[in-house]
Amino acid sequence: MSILTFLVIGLFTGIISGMMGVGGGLIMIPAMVLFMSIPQSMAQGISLAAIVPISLMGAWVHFKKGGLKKDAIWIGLGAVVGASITSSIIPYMPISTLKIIFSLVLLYFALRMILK
Amino acid sequence: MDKRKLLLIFIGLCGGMASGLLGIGGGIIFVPLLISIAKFDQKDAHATSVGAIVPAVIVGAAIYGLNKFGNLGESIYLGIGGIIGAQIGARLMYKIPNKQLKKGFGVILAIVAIRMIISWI
Repeated sequence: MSILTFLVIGLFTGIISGMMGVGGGLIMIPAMVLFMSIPQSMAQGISLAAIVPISLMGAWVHFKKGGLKKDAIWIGLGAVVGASITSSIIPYMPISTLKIIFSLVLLYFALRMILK
Repeated sequence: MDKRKLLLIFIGLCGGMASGLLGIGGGIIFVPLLISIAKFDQKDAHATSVGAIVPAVIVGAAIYGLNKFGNLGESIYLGIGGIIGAQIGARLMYKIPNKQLKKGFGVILAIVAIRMIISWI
């Protein structure tokens, strides 16, 4: 049952992110938190690991098509440093704070989609 | 090191920090910054963003995992569903008029955001 739920959430996330150009995490995480009662920090960790194969697949397609520029190396370098810093502070952040930050970011991007 | 490389590293740092803090890929930060600051066109920004997301989420997932905030089995099922869904979504994108859809989806996301805030209160 649970396997099926995760597959369906993944499938739905993939369709939406493929169509809308919105990142998968913004859809997967609320789905896990609201429908499956998974704590925010756990949902974020599960989301990150799920994005690994999804983004690898996407990167490979773009690499073959030539859209992926070598600049990605420098961006990736900065991203690794940035992600290391914020991932490391997660255990010290209250789940309620994480949830509020996440919700506000989500609300911001939702409004941007509506108004643009 | 030239200025452009520093700029790209800075963009990476911003997106990476959002990725680790929120558990997302970070494309939502990378793409607009690449277009507005680094003068990428829309397509190149998307493609290059995906490439930069890969190392960010590997490191983020590893650190979350070390702190026991993760479940590899569940991530694999999400990932499998996600890869299949992305193929469908990318094809649908060309068939469906985008603008209304985007607004409608924005409304749903806003409702989800408000529900998340309410569930905390």
